[in-house]
Amino acid sequence: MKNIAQVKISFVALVCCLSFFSCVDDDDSNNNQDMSANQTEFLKNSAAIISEGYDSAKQSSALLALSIESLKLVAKQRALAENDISTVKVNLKTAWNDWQKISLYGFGAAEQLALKSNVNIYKTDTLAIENSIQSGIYNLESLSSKDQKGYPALDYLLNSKSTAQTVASFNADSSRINYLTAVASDIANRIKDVQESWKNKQANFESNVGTDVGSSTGMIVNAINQHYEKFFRDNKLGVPLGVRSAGIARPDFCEAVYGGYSVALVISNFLAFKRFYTGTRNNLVNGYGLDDYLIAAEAADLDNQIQVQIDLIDLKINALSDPLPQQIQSDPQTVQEAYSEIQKLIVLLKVDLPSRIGVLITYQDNDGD
Amino acid sequence: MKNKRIDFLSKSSHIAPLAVFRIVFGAILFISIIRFIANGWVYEMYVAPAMYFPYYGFEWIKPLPEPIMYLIFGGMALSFLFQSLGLFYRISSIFSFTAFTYVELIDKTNYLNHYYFVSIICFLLIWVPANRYFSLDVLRKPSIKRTSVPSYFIFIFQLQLAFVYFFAGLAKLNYDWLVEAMPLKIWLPAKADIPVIGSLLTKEWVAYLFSWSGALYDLSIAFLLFYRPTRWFAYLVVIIFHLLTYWLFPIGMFPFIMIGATLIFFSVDTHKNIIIWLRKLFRLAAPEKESTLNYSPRFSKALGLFFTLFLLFQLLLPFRYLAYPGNLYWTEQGYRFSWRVMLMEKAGYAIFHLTNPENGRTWEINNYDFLTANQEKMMSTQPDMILQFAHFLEGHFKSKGILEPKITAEVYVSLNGKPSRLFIDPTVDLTKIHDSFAPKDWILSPELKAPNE
Repeated sequence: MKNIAQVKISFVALVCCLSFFSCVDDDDSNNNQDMSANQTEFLKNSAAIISEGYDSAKQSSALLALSIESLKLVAKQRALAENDISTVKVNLKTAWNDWQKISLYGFGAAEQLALKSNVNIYKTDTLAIENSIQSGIYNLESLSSKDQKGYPALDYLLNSKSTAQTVASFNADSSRINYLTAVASDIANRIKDVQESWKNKQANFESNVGTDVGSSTGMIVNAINQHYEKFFRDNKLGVPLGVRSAGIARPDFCEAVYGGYSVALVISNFLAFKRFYTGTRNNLVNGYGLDDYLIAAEAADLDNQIQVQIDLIDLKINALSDPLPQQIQSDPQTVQEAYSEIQKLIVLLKVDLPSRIGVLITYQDNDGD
Repeated sequence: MKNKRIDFLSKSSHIAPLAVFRIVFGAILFISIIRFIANGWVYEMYVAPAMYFPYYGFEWIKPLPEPIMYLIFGGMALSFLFQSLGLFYRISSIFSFTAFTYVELIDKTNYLNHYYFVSIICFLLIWVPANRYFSLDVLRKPSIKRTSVPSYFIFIFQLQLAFVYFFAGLAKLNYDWLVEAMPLKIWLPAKADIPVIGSLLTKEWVAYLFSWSGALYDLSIAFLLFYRPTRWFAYLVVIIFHLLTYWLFPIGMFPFIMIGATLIFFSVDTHKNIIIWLRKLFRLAAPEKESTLNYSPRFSKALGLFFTLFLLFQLLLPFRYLAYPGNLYWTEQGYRFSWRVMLMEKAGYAIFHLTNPENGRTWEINNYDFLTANQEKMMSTQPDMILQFAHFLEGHFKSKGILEPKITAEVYVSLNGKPSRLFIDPTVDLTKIHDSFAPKDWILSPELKAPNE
């Protein structure tokens, strides 16, 4: 009996507590939705930027695949001329450049379908490619062929020799152009799949507010950090320079090592990051970005620090010159300087930023306490 | 005075609270272990990593091959189930404790206060005859049935729980928690997406409300549970508090373990009612009328002394941080095993520089080549782990033919949303430093500015 009375008393106490809660709420209900509203705006504009990126990457990879397909048709009718592959080369450069606009969004379908590993692993395994062409036996579906396909494989097939020699090699053996076609359409299909999946989930992305594990903001901050650290800093500069590969320079590990436009791709990838951070879309209108979100979260000082560092990096990577493999050997100091400034931004992105906005840095879920 | 103490040791109580505790604790842990396996964490934490971070003095503890690790976890699930049912109790409780503690000792990356709590409870359960009432062991062998045990067998669990709460509350009495409402000011808005109270969580006063009521809760709840008139109210608060934390934070099974374990504060009658209810639920025959059967442990005095020492140790351990200079949250010297639960937001980034003196070559280590994301995250803010990783790298590169590698670390850490700072002396060759209980004088002060400012 006594127990029941106690339960009643505690229930009454609980109701009192809860009503206190809701009373206080009424007082300042005007400014209580601030951060959620900010998150919604941030996600909406971010989604627009991501969409634009996917649209161009899909278009230019499709165009590349198409131009290679028609090259194959031409080759069946007559011997190819140098002129025939120059368009293809330009298309490759454009498509690879557009890839830089989406490579930083390694979450969702891009992550599940391992887009990055399937499309842009370098350095490419030239020996394996030659073997595949000769034997005619290859499986581009499998991830184990990741260093025999993607943009770096096209770079090898199209740019590793002089245009005349390249044309001659295609004319000499039709299986070479078959391989080229297969790789190009594999890229285009994969990007198309991810783009379509993104379109389907875009509304979800925009409405999934919060910054905890599984929220859109949490996902994208983690994805961008991971990309920035491993695929931007290390793969594009750190490894070729030797800082991230046992102190031995490996210029042959540069992206687009044959095409000779590694620096252009570095700049383009960093521009994509910068535009995402500042919320800038293709029309160059500065919309709601991470910078605005930081300011709303009372971290304007951090935003300022990041912007200063971004400008510094801009300066340093624009001082690089193509072809990068040569510069690494002749003038490693300049490359090292760019690397160091890039490195400094990581601390702000991976330590300060998540701490200020409550994003958990982890690529794996686990219990906390 | 002396007589009183002996009185206390010889006082006896009905065994029902122990039996219920065994049933509830075993069942929740059974579910926890199944969940752990189902989440793929056995693989992620004990198979995938290339290296582990064992505890100081326990470096000899190593993970076993994959199938055996799965066998251990499977065995653990079974032993907790058996404990719950009271089947082969002594053996299963010894196995539960040994296996659980072994697994926890493999890698401090996975340290959680609640895992430590589980280990302690498992240990205590070995010593009490929780299976001698309402259990399958009694069904198998009715002669072992007992209805009463020394009161301190129950009291020790209550006291252990009281310690957990009280120390957790004590730890919250610091400037950041009370005056700045940190880290809740960062963590709560992260949950702005949850229904009903989501938008409330982005408000500053809510962070203060949660900080202060959280501290008040931890400090007072044990007393409110001990004191009969406030017990029901307190238990209701326990449920609300833990469900709220379950809802707000990635905190796993801990809330349910606490909600289940705090039942032990209730009276014998309540526990008897729970058993009656369980009998009905599982359609078990009501037992014939109970006669009093006393359980008197063979070495009651020795056991009493042992428990007292154990609790005394528990009482002192959280204070060992006083032996170290500097800010505890920054240095984390004496941080673990002290019920400092959900206290700080700490993030870090570590760049390890390796120099080969033979040719003067210097380069940076890709942490992700050796560590899982979670290991890297944990290592980057904890000095002892930074040192362990440096020593691992030393061994790795020695085996690659670099005889005397020099390894320094440039580590940046942010505590409770403050700007990141250099964490340890970036000029110190970590291969020359050996871990010990002595203060780590190579940890820098958090007041130092980062070099690029």
